[in-house]
Amino acid sequence: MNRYRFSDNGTERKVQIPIELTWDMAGRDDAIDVYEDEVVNRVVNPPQDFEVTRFDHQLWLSGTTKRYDINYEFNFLGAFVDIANATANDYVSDYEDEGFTVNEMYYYANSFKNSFFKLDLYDTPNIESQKNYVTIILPTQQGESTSKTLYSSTVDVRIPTYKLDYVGDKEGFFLYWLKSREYINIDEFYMSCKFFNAKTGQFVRMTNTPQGGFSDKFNFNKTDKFYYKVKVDYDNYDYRIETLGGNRIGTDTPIKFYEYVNP
Amino acid sequence: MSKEPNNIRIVPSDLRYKGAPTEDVGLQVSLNGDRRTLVDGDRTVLINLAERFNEERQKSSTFRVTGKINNIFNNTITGSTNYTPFKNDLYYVNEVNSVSTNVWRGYPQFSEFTFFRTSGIDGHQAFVSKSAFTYNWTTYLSYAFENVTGQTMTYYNEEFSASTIFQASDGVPFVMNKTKYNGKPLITFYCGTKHNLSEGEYVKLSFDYNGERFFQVYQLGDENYGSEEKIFSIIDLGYTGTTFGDGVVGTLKRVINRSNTGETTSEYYVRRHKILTSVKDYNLTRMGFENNAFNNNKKLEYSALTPNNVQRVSVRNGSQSFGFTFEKDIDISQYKDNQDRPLTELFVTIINKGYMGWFNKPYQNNTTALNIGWDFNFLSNLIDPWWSQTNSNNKDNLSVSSYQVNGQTFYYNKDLNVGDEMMGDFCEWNDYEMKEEVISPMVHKYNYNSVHFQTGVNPQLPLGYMYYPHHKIQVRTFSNYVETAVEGEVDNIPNYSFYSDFDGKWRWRDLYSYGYIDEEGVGVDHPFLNNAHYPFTNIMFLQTPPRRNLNQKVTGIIQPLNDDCE
Repeated sequence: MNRYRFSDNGTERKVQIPIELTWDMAGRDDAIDVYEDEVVNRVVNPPQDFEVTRFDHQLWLSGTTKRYDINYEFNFLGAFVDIANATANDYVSDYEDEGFTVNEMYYYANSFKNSFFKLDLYDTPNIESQKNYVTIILPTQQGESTSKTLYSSTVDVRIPTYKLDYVGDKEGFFLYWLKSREYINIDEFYMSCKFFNAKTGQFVRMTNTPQGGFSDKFNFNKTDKFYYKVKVDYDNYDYRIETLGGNRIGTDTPIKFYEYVNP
Repeated sequence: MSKEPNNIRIVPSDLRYKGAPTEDVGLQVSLNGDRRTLVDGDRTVLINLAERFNEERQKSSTFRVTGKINNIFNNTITGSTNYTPFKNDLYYVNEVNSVSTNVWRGYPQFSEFTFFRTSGIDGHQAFVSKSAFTYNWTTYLSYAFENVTGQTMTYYNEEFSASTIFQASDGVPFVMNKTKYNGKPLITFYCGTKHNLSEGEYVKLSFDYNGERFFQVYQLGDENYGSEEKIFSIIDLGYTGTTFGDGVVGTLKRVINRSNTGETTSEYYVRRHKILTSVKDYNLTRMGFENNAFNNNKKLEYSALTPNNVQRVSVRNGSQSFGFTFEKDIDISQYKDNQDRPLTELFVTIINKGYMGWFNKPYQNNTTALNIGWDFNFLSNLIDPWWSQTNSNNKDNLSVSSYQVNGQTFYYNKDLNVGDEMMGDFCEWNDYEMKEEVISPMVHKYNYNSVHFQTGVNPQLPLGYMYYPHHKIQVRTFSNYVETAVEGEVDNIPNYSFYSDFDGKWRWRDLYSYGYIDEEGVGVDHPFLNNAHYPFTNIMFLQTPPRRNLNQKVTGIIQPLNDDCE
């Protein structure tokens, strides 16, 4: 900031004001320079924004209480139920039905703690053309607990029912995705689920409705049965999960997945 | 030309078969050219990765600020409360005695002072998880956009019991004392702020001695270590009268050149900040593997030793560190700083919110509760009177709001919005040097609400904690040197340059390019990717009680003696 003080001493005074020029007269040569820049930019690609930011779960109301937690419930087919005879009621949210013992769960055996749910977010539910853009891992060490009997004691072990939030269990709560929509403009993903079982070394796919309730258990429309919708809001940096029919879930209505058994 | 090998075998015609005639054999060699003649006017551009990167970096003015906060805090103020939810929530002291007296004293839990709380207070406020990092503190990006010269300030010197009331534009406050050094009589000035003087420079005092206001600096500091910043002396030439008496107070301005006082006398002001982001543009998380150097203080409150007979773990102090990011990109090319120059500094501005209501009750009909002051408003043995609730000069436009619970009123500081303004550091600017120096950083004080937490002190001077709200992020730098040019001899003199009538030249500091750091370490080299700069800042967020010794006297550490014996 320049502050000038002028005293009147009877002589002519002048003020020099610096005006910075950052332009020049454009001629043909300049135009070629500009064109050259354009071409070079086309060749090397202009810088693009691959910054990711975190999207948190959208507000929902439980009565008048503001809540942000997201709720998942994963169900396995009962251990002694044959899929051929299974009904929709034969699914339970319990790792025992996936082959883990109470001992393995309580002591976090490698076979248990290295198992996880993998939620894949695709751009379309169409298997032939879909691309996987985001993956969320939910480890078995997170989740609600239930009481089980281990030898003669009662112990608390994890069950595959998750309540994720800003505090407490929060791995998998945030969705990390591109901040800018310039490179990939997607605001709706399709989420499928697999459970990776470290005890067997296999994974099982999961459906959004119990396979046991299907009229034809092995011949159904995969687009309808394997996915939920994830809607991303770029203005508020949050997301919500919906059924394919557009009903919001993940609130007090949890996101439910059910074990799918291959024929 | 093609580099494929041509395996051609030439057989003389008379050897092809028996009796074959002799013939001339012709061989056609094809020459394929993949070059063409250079046409006049063709242009060749060599694309170099490093050059392209640098070009894109220099063009970009977008910043994405990230950082880390270390909350350095010791919970030291105890009190008592009649409000049941708060009473049930204290970290108790002398709880055995409290059982019989039913007067429960203690510290508020550390969760009232941390940056990320994980619970509310039972019976008072339910916990909303998304607000975990905005209950106690709100954090913004800001920049200094103008100067306030009319801010009234008070410097109180404890040793001389002398008080200087002055305006920011008056300069550096001081109290003087006659001293001797090696037998030479001196007049020593004890300043409230950094004076930035060098030996041989001049000071312009707020009063004169026989019409003379300019005095040359003879010596910096006194015998105590580290005193050069705030203490200097002039030679006592035998001044008579009371002008230079012990305990005389006043203000001074720094002058570089006695022959050019008009251009080399410093100006003084308080920076004013403008907020660039809102609360929702900010994310904070707890760091997984980092704590500060101090211990956690926890204890088990036994059910029999609590007013509500509930056993719980109580936390007085914590050591968690926090990482933060701003989701909003800042394009600095849109802004000018408080000297009308390109913006080179952003600030992470942290404001106490105190939503749970332990603090921030406005005094009488005030609309603000936070007090503002500067680094010289700390004393060793008493609370500086500057912090009195009746002082109208220690307020800023940081307004409070309130809510009612259980028939009681609780106060908190409202969130700021983009474009809101607030005060900042006390600075010196010198036109000739083209340089700004912070001589005293700004301090906020938040006070306990004496209705809900009684600390047993005068409510006009309540207890609370102080913190520095503004934390600088250097996004660009001006050069260490001053560039000069005669009019007409140099192109593109920046529009923020200063014309020195004395020298007949323009003066300015160059703006260093991104990634350039000079021999003296001046410059910035922030990571550049995604077409944006990523400055990282490590904030040591110090919260202190209102008494500490920050003023100029550091007794007990004597300067090491250097003489010929070594």
